[in-house]
Amino acid sequence: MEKIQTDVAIVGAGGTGLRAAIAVAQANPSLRIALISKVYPMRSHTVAAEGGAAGVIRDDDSYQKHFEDTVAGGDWLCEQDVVEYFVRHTTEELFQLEHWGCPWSRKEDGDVNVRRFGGMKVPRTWFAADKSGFHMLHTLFQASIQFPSITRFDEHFVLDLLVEDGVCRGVVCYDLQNGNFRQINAKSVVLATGGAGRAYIFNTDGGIVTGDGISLAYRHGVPIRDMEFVQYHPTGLLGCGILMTEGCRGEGGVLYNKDGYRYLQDYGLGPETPVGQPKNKYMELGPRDRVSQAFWQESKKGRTIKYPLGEAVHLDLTHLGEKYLHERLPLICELAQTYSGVDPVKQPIPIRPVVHYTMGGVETDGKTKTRMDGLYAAGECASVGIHGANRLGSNSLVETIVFGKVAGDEAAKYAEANADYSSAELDRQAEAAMARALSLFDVKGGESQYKIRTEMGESMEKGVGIYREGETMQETIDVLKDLRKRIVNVPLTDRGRVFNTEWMNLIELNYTLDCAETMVYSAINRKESRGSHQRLDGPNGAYKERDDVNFLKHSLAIFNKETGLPDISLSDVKITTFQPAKRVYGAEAEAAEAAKKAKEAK
Amino acid sequence: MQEQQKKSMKITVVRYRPEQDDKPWEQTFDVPYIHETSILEALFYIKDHFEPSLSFRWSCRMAVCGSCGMMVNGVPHLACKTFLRDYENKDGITIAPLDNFPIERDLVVDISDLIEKIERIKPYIIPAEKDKNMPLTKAYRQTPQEMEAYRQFAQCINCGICYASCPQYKLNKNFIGPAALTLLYRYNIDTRDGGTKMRLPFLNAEEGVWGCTFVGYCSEVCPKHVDPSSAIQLGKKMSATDYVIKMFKPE
Amino acid sequence: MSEKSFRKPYNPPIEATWWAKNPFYFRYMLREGTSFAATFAVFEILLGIFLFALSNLDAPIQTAKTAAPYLWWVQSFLGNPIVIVINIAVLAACLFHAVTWFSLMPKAVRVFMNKNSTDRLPDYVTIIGLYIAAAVGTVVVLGAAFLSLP
Repeated sequence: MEKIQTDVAIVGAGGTGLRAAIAVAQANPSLRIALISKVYPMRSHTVAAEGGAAGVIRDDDSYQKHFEDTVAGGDWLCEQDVVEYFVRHTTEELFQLEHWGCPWSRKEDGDVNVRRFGGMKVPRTWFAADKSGFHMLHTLFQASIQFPSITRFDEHFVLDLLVEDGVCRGVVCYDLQNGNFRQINAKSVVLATGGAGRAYIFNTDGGIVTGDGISLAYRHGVPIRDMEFVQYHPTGLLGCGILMTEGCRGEGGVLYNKDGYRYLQDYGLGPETPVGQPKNKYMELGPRDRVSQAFWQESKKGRTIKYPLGEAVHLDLTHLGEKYLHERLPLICELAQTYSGVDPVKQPIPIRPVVHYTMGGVETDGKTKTRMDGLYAAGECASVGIHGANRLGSNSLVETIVFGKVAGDEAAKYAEANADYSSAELDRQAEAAMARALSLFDVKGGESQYKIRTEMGESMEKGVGIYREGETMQETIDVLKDLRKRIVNVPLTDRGRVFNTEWMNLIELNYTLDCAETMVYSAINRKESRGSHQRLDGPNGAYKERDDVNFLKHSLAIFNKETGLPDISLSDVKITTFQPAKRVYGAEAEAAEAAKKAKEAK
Repeated sequence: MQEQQKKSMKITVVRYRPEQDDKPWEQTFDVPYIHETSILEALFYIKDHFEPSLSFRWSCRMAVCGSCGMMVNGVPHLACKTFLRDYENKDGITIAPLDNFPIERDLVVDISDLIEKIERIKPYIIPAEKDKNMPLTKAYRQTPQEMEAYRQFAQCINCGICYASCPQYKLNKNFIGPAALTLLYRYNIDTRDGGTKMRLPFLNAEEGVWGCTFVGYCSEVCPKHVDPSSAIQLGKKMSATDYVIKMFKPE
Repeated sequence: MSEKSFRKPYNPPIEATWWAKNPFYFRYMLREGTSFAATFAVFEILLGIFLFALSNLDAPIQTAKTAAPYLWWVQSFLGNPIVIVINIAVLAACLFHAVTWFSLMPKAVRVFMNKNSTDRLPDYVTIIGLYIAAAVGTVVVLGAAFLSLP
């Protein structure tokens, strides 16, 4: 096996990985950087983000408001000190991208424009039309080219971390193009592999979003935090699940049920705001968890619209007019037309909630360090603590760059403080990882990876969907147990080594199965409702409510070598200034604020 | 949406397994489909039900990651943005790897040449001297019109479809090609950039814009309507202007 | 020691008929092919000029004899039915070239409607402009030719 010595190895080259690589290169140009990705960087799923990235810029906005929106949006399960750091560093990172060439949409005077987004009190979402992620990713990729210290390992699939004495010292990967393996010894390793949305059958995610990094860390005993919080985006295109950005509603789009009624007013988001006059934190600009939950309720009431491809509600943009739509939401118009045959200028778009984002991930401190020395994690694969139980739209794009930079800086510092390391033990681990991967070719059995993937996805939707119950979650656990037994009997028909996607997909499926387990075990253990985790059960329905006494805590899933399953425990949440309160939107929020002001005045 | 009925279509896929085959061969499948089925979903069906060893790149399913460029009946397309319903009156569909790139495996081609060319032309803002120390508290002034000038050229997803469509690239692999030249031009006309001079040598070169004979097919097939042939013709104007200026004002 | 690569990329040969299989390439090659027509026209005109120069231009009175080479070009060469057919084909080719070329030209012209607008000058404006220019050019050439008639 080829052996490479580097200073910082970064796994994943999406928004976070690229930003981390540039941070290392800028912090110390003499550091060698290995940027490893199973695809070319611009294929990473950051590319599909549409709406935008939050950064305080307007005079009527403040860090404090962004902080409060984020923490309340996360149902108080956020690390408040980390959120404080986050909101203070978003804007400079967005300006940094602007300086690197990102075409943020402009106002007439040539300054950066912002749009409204769900759960945000003030418009603070920077956007590049509705291709914000695309432009951010390409800007970062292109900017990264000017740094000679970044060596890219494109289309390299990481099989394992190299860990000696509890310290992470590198990775081993499969080179898809050449069909061979590479051992990359590194002084520090950054995981930036994205989420695990592919655990669900109906999702907005690309095929690559299989939770690789989460599983890699998990298998080495690193705690995985808050995995039960899986975000359903309320507006996915019916059938394929392609994302219709929250920007649609930010620009004034409205949601109708089959009676042409704006049903969100029935779910604590009202009163109804006039069409064409969106109001922050009202109606369609409520947070994603609430809006998705409302769909589920409407479905129960039989008020959704039945299509051949399933139930939907209507996202109506027609009142915005052709010129405005083509300027602000060109991709949405193209996608709706291509994949649904609907022209948003003239017709409402059939949409339904769809799995979109993994709030949880590898537990890190506020500086992206995991509990394992030498191992850092950032972006969607990490749980740095800013999203809590529900992420606000446009917080994650900016998370990639804010914490991508932190991870790069921290990994660089750690690498500077340590010397090159290689040992027989690392070589042995690399050989073992290779042998493990190759042993999959020897499997003789009758299982199909397609069936396992589908059953996992369906079972996850059923058990750990928008609303959850102990019984169905247990069923999902049983299904996953069964799948775990069956996956070792999947044979490989493809005997080749070059671009063997059947082989790689099987290993990915193992990763995703790990993530699915952490999700459902964390979920069944959380006997309350909070953010995106809503339960319908409990004695007298007790779990329907938020329970701050017992569950104002993070869930930790730690791999148990004996059982092969996660052990679930709880850890404290850092609360600095913002005490937990009832999470309210719409008129209720305004009333609460007025009451608070009146109290302060006294 | 129409009434969904069970239909099926003959799909022929070009196969090439480097460790077994000396040259590509074809394999045909009957794939059921509905109105919404894309070529990419047809390939999923083949991989899941008939031939798990079939390799192809894909990810986002929404025509933005640029992975799934391939030849569909001889025309380069994104598989995820091309639908079986549009081939109903044809004699089946033949899917082949992108033209003009070495075939790595089945429908996977080696795009390293494209990537190298994108890297070569310095596709990033090179700030002018006065902007070098701009603080991270403000943005460059750029009016909507100034942005509109390059906006279309910044929509490239690097899928390689324009290279597969370009006869000049087919005949001469040194040609920098549509996507990279478009990117070069995009940065040269970005008002925030001060690096035009450093990119002009690539633009002016034989393998730069002058290697283009204005076939125009790249603009026809581009799935993101980037219009590379427009960027290249405008690049020719820029290059010619530079030539004339240098004639009168040698450095 | 580094493990061997399993790669064996296949480079498909370039077929000589690649341009015949796709209508777009075929049209392009046709457009490029019009250069043969243009070449023919150039040689034809050069021949005329050459023969005109061979004529005895110093003769006090131009007769059929003194202008014989040039008259041969006009009457026997240009008047030859085969050459007439070829010239009609050449004219058609040049018109084809002009039409296809004009339709591509908007790509090389990107002008905004005014100082602040993000709307660009529509393509048809460029195309119509080119046709007008071509028409004006033709009228000027033909006019000059007719005016110079004795």
